[in-house]
Amino acid sequence: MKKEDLIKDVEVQPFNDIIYNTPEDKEIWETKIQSAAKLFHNLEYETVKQKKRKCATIHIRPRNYDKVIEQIMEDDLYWFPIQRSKSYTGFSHKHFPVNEIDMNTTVYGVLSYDKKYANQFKTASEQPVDHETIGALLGFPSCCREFFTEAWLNFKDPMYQIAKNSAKIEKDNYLKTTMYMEAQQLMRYKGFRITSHLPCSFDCSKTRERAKIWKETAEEKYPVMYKNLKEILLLPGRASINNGIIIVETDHFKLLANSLATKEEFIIEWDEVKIQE
Amino acid sequence: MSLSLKVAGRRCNAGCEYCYQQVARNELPARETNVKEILETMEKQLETFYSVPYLHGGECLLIGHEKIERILKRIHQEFGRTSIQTNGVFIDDRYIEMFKKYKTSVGVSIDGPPPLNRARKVPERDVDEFTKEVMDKLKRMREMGIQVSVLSVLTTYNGLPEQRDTLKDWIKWLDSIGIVSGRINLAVSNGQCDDIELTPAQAKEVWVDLFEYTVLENVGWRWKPYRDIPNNLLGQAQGTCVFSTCMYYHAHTEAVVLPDGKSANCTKTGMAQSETYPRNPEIRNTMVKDGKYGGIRYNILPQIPQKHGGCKGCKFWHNCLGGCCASAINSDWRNRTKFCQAYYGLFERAETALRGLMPGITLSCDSDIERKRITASSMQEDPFESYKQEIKNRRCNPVRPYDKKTERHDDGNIRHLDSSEKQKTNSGRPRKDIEHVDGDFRHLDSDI
Repeated sequence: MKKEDLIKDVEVQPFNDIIYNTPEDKEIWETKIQSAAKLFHNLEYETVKQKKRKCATIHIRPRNYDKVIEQIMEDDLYWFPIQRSKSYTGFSHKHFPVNEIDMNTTVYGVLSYDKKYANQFKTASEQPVDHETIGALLGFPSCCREFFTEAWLNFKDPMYQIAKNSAKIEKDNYLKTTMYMEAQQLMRYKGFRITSHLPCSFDCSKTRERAKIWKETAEEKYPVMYKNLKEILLLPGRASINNGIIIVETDHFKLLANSLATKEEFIIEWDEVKIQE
Repeated sequence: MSLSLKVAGRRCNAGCEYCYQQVARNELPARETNVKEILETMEKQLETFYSVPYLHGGECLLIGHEKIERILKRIHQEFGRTSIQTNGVFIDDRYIEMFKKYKTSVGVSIDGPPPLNRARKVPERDVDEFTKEVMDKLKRMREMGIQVSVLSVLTTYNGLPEQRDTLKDWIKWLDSIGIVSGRINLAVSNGQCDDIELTPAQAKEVWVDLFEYTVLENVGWRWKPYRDIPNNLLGQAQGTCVFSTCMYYHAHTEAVVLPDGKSANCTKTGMAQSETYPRNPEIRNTMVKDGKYGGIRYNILPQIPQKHGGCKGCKFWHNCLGGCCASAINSDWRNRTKFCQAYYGLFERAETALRGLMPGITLSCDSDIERKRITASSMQEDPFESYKQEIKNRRCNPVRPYDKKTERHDDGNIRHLDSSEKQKTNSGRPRKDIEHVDGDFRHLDSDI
């Protein structure tokens, strides 16, 4: 996929959804999916609270800011606001900046156990954004930071670019990739992920190494959610990107979200998902 | 919108070459028919989806007289009428009695007289022989006073120009026995019938021709989708779901009850993947603004250039909305329909006809009209507004749009009321003797 493969000036509205393949699949998978979707958000907070990472990003909504701020204070953490954005549900690759706060806004900010790190993050978020520093504070591996800084310039959802770096088979607009659960980010549109960054490949060794802190925290604090998440992340699948929409298909459900507006369909396939021991 | 009871699931005595259930029929296990479960789910669906359910298949008459009667009886109790779709092969005297008793509207699937019905294959039966039998049954049901319509599918067996006279004669014959409505769809191949699917150009040719034949040349016929096209352009409600928004996996316009009582959606939308997507009633009114899948197709298609599968810049975007997702280019609902050329041709032909008859008309494809929603039927403006103004202004010729520049003119022998000569005859005498008011119309022979 090249820059020229993208259609210009297409604004795809934020959204995400799960479609069950049959009524029976819905009966079996719906509860697991609802449970697993909450885990990543909890881990994002918990890994910083346990000082396993310097920073995390958290959105706070006016609707429940009092409770969230209370929790942050109780946990001796810092949260600095960075960007006011129009609220959206579903999945978005960007913020929608606004000046005023109301019930339809959300505030994106940085969470840290150390004021110094939070300040560094906030400074790095100013234009021009210093992705390298932000990535380092969030605990992203250096190879993935380097990849992201380059790829994100042209591809706001660089899944095909990640897959290309771990491809076993490559032909016209099609990649078959090796996939590790720790680097599986094709399910993140609905919150299914066990690491917070976009890896440089779906078998990135540093990502697998970095995932240990996330997996330990998940096993220790949220064992049932983690079991459900693993079941989902370990599913073989196929992702298709076309006209601004990605469809991630598994044998039991499809996950849909906004993605790149490509002129043709691009496909990523993986027939097994490995776990780093 | 309708509630479809797939009482036989995908089971069918026939094996029509184009059937959209072919792939799933071969790959997925059949569901057993359980009338009790079907009726229970039907009752539940009716709470939010109140419309006369219709029995559908596969071939629904395969489940037998007793089960069919139990279902028809319950629907008749609720609505006073019933509806069924069948290929007609199993219709016998007992079924005909049943249809009469339960006021059943019978839709029969047949693609024309011999030899046009060749895509419908029934194992161990000669196709021309059973086609004649089914035609006899159509006639018999009509003689018994049963309401009958026909569902035909156009392929290279019946949709090419050389087959046209036979097809038109047959439609005329249907009219002669009292069948004036039905549907003539295009076969859509998702790999199962590539060899008999019409090309977009062939599809346009036959659709435009049948539009002219069934809408313009013969008054009173109600063949779809042709009849829908002028309605659509006039911003009226339509009987064809393909011109409305479709949530594809949650295709809300057709609620489906499966033979085991499970609920699902339009089974056409799952055909490419051999899936039966579960019904999700709360999705019904969910659009993409709620963060759900909903109407994302209608967010992207008008932004995607036509050469990349979208509808950007199309005059008929609001009329067609990219067509049926299940007929999309590459079987991918993110693209517009592969029969865009045929749809466009229909709208274009109907637009020409409507504007030719009524030049001052406002159509839902006009670029400056306001809509409440994305669909053509949400057009705010009255299509006949300019004519109403004509009448209000007591102008005598409602067919001619009002032209403020015209102060005085003669059209042949017709002298208009806005002419400064209107009060005088050629001899200079007042014209009162020939003018009169008839309702809101002022006629030249009025004495007022």
